[in-house]
Amino acid sequence: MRAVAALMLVLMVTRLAAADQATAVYNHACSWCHGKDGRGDGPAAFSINKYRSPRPRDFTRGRFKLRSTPSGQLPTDDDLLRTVERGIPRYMPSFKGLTAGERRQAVEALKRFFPGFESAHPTPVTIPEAPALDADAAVRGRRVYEDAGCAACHGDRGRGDGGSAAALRDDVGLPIRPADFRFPRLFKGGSEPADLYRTLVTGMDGTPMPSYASAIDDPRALWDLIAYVRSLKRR
Amino acid sequence: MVVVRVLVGLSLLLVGFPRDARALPAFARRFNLACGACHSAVPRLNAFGEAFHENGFKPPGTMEVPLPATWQDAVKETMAVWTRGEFYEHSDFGSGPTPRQGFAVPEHASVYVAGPLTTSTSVFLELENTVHETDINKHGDFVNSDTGGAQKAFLMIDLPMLFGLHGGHSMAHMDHMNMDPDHPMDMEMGMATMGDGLVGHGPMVMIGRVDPSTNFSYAVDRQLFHDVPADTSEAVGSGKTAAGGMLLRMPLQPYAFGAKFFGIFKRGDHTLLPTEPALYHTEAAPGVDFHGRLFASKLLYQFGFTTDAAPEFLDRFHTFVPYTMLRYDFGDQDGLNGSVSVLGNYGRNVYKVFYLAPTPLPPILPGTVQPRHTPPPPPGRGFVNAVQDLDVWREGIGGNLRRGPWDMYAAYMYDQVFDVPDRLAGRFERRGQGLTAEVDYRLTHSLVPSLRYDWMKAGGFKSDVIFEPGPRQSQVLHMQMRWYVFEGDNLAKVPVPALLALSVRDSVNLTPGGSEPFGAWRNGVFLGFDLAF
Repeated sequence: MRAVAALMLVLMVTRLAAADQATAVYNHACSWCHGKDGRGDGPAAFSINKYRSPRPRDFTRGRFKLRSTPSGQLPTDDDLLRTVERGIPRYMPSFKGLTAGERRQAVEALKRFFPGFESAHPTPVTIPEAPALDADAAVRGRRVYEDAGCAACHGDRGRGDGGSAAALRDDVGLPIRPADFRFPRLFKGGSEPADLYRTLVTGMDGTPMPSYASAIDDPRALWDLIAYVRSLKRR
Repeated sequence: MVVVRVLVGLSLLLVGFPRDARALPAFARRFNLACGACHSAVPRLNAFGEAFHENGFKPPGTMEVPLPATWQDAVKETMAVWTRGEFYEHSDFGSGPTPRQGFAVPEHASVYVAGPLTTSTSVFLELENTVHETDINKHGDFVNSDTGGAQKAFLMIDLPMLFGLHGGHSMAHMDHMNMDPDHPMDMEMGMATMGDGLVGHGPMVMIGRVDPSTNFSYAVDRQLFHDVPADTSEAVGSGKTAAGGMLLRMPLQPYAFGAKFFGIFKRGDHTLLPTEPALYHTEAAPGVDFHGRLFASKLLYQFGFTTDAAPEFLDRFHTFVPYTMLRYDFGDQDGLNGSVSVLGNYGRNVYKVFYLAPTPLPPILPGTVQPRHTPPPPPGRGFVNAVQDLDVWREGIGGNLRRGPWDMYAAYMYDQVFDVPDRLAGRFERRGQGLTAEVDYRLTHSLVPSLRYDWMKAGGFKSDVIFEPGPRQSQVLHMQMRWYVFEGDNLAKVPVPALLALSVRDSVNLTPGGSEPFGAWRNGVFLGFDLAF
């Protein structure tokens, strides 16, 4: 018991000595890939995807793919928290195993790497309630898909094999693959209808995926497109 | 606690079973990750993968991972199958009256069950169908034999978590007391909160058939070059050849980690060839291992003991192999990072030597564990009538350096044995050294060329006394190209997280000459594969 008590004492003293819990959380959980300075250059960064995108995010650039805010804006805390909790399929695990407080501290720590967060007041876009995403909506969505030029990257059948897919690069020049709609569980921004709506409206900054907020200004058409994309899931 | 105790008990039972962790698609499925998240080149771990391993097969800093909800999920998320092997041509020195089989057939398959069970306890179990062993049969011939069973089988327990010292979720009920909106949840602590400062992580304890070397800078069981078993000519007893039972080539395994002595035996009278991994660097051994991190996780400490080289359960009480290892990690960036490890390892009574001695035989003391049988004399070498246990001391240093697509590894080990019988004075070299160095380069997303150099100055029986006469130094250069056909990152290509890697390798004997197994073998080309799902 004495040994346990001594160990507890050491841990408590150490706990008090930790000047900055947010940095501690970040260093312990995030820095392996994102680097101690948040530049996306942690010791494991290269091996995540080698010579391809995505690589760990460089927080100092202030460009974030997964947001609920209009293209060009910084994400909200809830956006960052959502990514921490969900992870990014294939590339970043869920960190839901951190305590709720630690997850918020991780978000606090990563925001420090980009000074723009101090004065930013990001405002999320409004996501209207989804209508019925039935077969009729999917048929209409197919037309939206063609009219909006989605097939150029995602391919005629949504397999990520469009004519320009092989030439796509992200903002640091790494080759990037368009999403293959047969595998919604791999969608980085989530696969629920609201997730897809958010991705379509906000775009994915730093990638070739633009915001369709102005190109498709009818929410109904966006929902139809979402119905079509969801219909491509491999059964 | 009851569950943990039961699991600890089960783990201790597993200690009694006979002896590699690689990439586990089960983890990829459970955490929805590609292999590259944890591996720089499967099975080599990157820094994140090492932290994942150290945290009991969970993302670093995290505590809870929900258990699989259904038995189907449990199978999918905790079980994996790994098959691997190499096609290679046997040495032509094996051809005699009866030509030998032209190519060795791959035959390794492992089933894994692994993952976190509770916030504090994880399990790792590996069952392998076959493991190559080289032994001496009753005719005194060297023969290859196969064994199977549990390789690694251990529980990993986070001691502070077990005793509630991390706080974490246990303090969640206090959240409502925190009324300061600017510092929400400030009372809450978890493992990650404890991550900086003096305490970094752990201590963790592994109990069972553990792999102590996983935390070393150059881990034995995470080699990009497959181990190639020893090549022996057909045994005389098989009736296939008159010049059989000869050891034609040592196992091609990293020389630094080898036993480094000719003519020694493990407990239980099994031979131990100089290049076979032993002591701390065994791929799995029954034991208890403590490890953790200090000083903002820069320093990794490890200590524990194994009962390596003691296949019979009761004999393990006669054998005790304590070790300690310190590792310093440097560099926080992909631009340059790595680690340096030093270790000390003492093996009490782990080796045996048989030799000619004046009669009568040494008295048998009550309570002394006796070998199951007295090994026969080696071919044409006369009678063996005395046996002596040997202690061994191993000290060594290892390191790695990583920079983007470059991975470099090296290890040097110096072994000394003690209690060598006076009778063998002048005939037995009691020191051995080994060096292994490797460089890997990720040429493209899926191609990894590698170069490995092995050097050994072996000890043990000297020339023409017993077993293998001839020079005691060997150098081997291995060149390999490894092609990761898929590794769980393109599900459109292969719709399940799985791995397939193919390799072609040329191993060059840089010290040819003579008839002994260090010098006699000719260069070998090996075609290998790894398939995991």
